[in-house]
Amino acid sequence: MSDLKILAVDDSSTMRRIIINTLKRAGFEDVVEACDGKEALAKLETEKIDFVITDWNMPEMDGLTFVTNMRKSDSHSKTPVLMVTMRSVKEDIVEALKAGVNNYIVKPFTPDTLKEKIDQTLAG
Amino acid sequence: MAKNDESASVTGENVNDSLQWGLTLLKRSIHELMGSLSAIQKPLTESKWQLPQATSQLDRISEQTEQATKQVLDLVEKIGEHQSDVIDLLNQSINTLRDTEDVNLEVIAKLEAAEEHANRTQNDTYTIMDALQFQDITAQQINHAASLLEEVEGKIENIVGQLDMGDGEGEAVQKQSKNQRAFNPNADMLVKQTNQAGIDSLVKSSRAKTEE
Repeated sequence: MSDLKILAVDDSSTMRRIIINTLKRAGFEDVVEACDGKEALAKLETEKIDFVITDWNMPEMDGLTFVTNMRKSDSHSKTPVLMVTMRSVKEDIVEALKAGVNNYIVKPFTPDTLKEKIDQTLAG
Repeated sequence: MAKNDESASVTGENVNDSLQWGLTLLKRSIHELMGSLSAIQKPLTESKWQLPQATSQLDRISEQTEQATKQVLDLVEKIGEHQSDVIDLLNQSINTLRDTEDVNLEVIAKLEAAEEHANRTQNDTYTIMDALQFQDITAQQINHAASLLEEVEGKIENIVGQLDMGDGEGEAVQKQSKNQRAFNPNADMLVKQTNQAGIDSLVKSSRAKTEE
């Protein structure tokens, strides 16, 4: 069981539930949710988040803008970020990595891939 | 001199005739154009009303699919939890039996087989849960379609406005507030333009550049 606190950001409540469930099966019990980048930034202010999993396409504030803003803050400039999104075009992936995303998965994902990429990001 | 006046008068008549003919043709063209505009007025006005209905219907599909998916998720989570309880009970039973004096190996074997079935069922429920990711993907595809319809709706409204084609029943159109739509226009359940190996390679080279 890991004591890592993870923030899961996705505008789809179905997707958030699936991610949270997958994380729990992988041993990550402490998970906080947000439905868009704006709410996620607010959660980062009030909760001690160790790892972020975020979608890209979200209303109010998309994932890329969220990560860019997150990287500007002193407290979360180094917090690991895993992007989990439908976008699979090479240019998008490069753009996300330039914005500060540490690792990237394309939906639909398997639980093994999610666990593997979290472990890889933490090790890296 | 008289001859010049005569030819000037003939030329003048020709110009007048030409002008009149030109004006007649112009009048005819304008008439035809007005006819065409009248002919498209009704379909344009109908489209103006039908497009928001189509967009609403797409949004309804998305909402109802989301609701149905949530119900399936609720059940799948419950089944998963029940299976965990069954696996625990079977495990406890096997351990209890092993600790007894007269160990019945046949019963233990049957309980172990039951435990294996329970594990497989639990894994199947996780597979069902993972498959429900389809709902997010189809919701994005629907959002994309709705967004395209809203674009067409906007263009038709512009045309109707510019041509002053009011429907005569009040120009104030009750516009449904448009949802802020977030979607990937290339969302696809089956096709990924870059596979995970390709993504991993990009991540690796990005890390290497950062470390330089």
